[in-house]
Amino acid sequence: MSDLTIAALDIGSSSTKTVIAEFINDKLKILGTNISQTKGMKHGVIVDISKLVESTSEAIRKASTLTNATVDSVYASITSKDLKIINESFSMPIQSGQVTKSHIKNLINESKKKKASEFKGKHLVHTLANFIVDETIKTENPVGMHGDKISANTYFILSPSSISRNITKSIKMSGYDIQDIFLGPLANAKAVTSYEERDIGIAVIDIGAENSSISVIVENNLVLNKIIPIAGTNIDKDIAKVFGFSVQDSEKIKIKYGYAVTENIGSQKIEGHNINEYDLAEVIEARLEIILYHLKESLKKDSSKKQNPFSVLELISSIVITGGSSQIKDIDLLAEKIFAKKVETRTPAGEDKFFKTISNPKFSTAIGILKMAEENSNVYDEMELNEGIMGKMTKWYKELF
Amino acid sequence: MNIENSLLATITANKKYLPKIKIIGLGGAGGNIINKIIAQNLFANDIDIISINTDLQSLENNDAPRKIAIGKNAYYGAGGSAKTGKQAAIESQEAIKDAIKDADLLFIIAGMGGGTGTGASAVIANLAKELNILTISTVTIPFLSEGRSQKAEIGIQSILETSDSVIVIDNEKSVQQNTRNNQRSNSHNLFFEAADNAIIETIKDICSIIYNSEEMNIDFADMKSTIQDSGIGFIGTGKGHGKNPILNAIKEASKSNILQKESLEGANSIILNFSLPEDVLVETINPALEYLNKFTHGAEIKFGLHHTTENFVKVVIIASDFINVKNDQNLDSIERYSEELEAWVPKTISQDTTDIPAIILKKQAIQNAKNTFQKLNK
Repeated sequence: MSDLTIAALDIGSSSTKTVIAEFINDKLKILGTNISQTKGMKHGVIVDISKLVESTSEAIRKASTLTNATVDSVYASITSKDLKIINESFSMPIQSGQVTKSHIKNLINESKKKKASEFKGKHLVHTLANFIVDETIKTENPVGMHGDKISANTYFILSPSSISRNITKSIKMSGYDIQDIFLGPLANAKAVTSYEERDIGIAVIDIGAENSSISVIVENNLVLNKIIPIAGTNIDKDIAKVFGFSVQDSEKIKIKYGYAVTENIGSQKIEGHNINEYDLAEVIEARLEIILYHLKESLKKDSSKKQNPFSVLELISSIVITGGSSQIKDIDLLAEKIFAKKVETRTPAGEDKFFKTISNPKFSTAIGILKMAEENSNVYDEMELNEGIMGKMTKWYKELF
Repeated sequence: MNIENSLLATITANKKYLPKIKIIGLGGAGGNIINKIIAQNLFANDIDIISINTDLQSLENNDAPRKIAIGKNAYYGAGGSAKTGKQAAIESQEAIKDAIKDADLLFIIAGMGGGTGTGASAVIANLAKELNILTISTVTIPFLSEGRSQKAEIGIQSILETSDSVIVIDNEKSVQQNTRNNQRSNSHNLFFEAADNAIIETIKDICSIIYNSEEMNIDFADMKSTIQDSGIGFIGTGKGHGKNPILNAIKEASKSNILQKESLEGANSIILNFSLPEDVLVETINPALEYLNKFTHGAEIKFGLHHTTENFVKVVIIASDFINVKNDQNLDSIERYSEELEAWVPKTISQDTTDIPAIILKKQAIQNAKNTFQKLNK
């Protein structure tokens, strides 16, 4: 890909985050960002597509005007509480003694066939796989390696077709080509964690405005993703109800004066408002306790890995919190108490100097989308398995228009 | 021998100081491993190999260049009594001292559960300590079915008190490992073979760190400061291929579970030795070190490396000085907190519960609990 301007679009329930970037020699350079209000969506569900088209086109237009760039194509993310992660293993002998692309193609296709019934009415967002050659060497890309036997451990990430279709439609109707759709939580995780962390196992908690989610990534595969419909807005509403502020003011007060843990918070008055820091922290703490409790509980309910005797929490070494509400002070301490794990809050800039200009955690997913676009994450799809990602998208277009 | 002086001497001569390594095989199990080491011709002549036993007959059949019969009445062996084994080592301590006194690093190989190995190894480790010799005991613990487990535990405890580092190889685990790797090996002998090989590999790996770190050096002083008085240690090796060979090698090494210590988690100090193919960049070690640092919660890491002609990365990890990651007090407070949340957090997410400010639900629950408590006390 050469000199192409793209937009990464993270359409959240309350706001649409756009990051405009330019591909120069296969590297991405960020040109600018924009946050604008999302319309027609509630708790991650599209309720009014024409309003969504309106706010989406406005978001892209604002961002491109700001950066003085013409957007060629759009990468978007989807999030769904009805996400399905299917894990399947398949092995085959390597007759030629060397692994080729067609081995990978066959392994993934065979795994897919075994689970064919589960793909009905679903959109395949990602195919993630690990390969093991001769039961000893584990790698993500075994092509060219020598051995007698190869097995694949594949994760298919499926979302309801309607969600992808609606997102595709609204972007298309806004007048832009859609290049690829990535899974929001995966993009988010890519923005705030390192390859090594995702390899040994890490959980990413994303507390946005209306939804909170937890994603567990082990050996670079998304093994679990759970979403609950309580998040930052609920904290704002609690503050508004308890102290009688407007919801907008509550959000500002929360970010400026709020703490997630009451321990060690004194009762000093908050300037300009008739409340003290302790009372504010108490309100925030209680709501966050509910959010984090439910995120932790959702890990227990996972049954995707029947053969694994460990709980998902035992697979991870630490937890990262991101998203708009991660700005609340001491949220990491609260999560540490609840999860009994090392917890860190992170902004998408992370250690990467390249993205240094953006440090607002609201942009985690959009930055992650860019990272995935850059590394061409859908490698297995691109190998023209049954239908490459582009093939898949074109087919939708035909269905839709 | 004064190590610091000799190190100084080697620095001025700009030549690497090679410490004197000795390997002692103790008792029946130790002697068997010594025979294997010699048969495989694994070590250069400058490593001294010594067999020590209370059983003369068994010693006669041993191939070690140097053999020491211990105990005044050495002839029939210790008859499975650890007390007899210990007594024998004490009676012959001058002969043992004489054999090990010029060593910098001493390996003691013994099986735990019998008489000589269980009883004498702590005595020998103690003698080595008095002589300021860095001592690594590599011991096997028997199968549960052999019914010698309790004695083995006591044996390990007593070596732990004196040896700088104890590497415990669990026969049960090496069997599991072995059957995983090779489905066909199901005979009893092969099981023992796996444990023996694990010991030999371990010693080989440690020696290779001392002898092979040409390009970036781990000197013996580093190694000594890591291992000295460190307790039960972890040693693992791994090979790495693919896109991220260094990391893959480390991952494999940190999972090699033939040793009793299962994980690197909580290690305070770590030594790594990399064998890198020419095309693997030295810079790529850094992210792998960060990974280890995070994984262990901040261990001090030292590493050495040399290049090889192989096409994969090999890493040897020695970790020691483990702290207990989860301390009990901490766990208690976590449990208490989760019970507290359990008591008031609504179990289902519905409009009704999310509309009420969370703090009100929480305070109500606390008030209800207080009321119930008061009623009960009336």
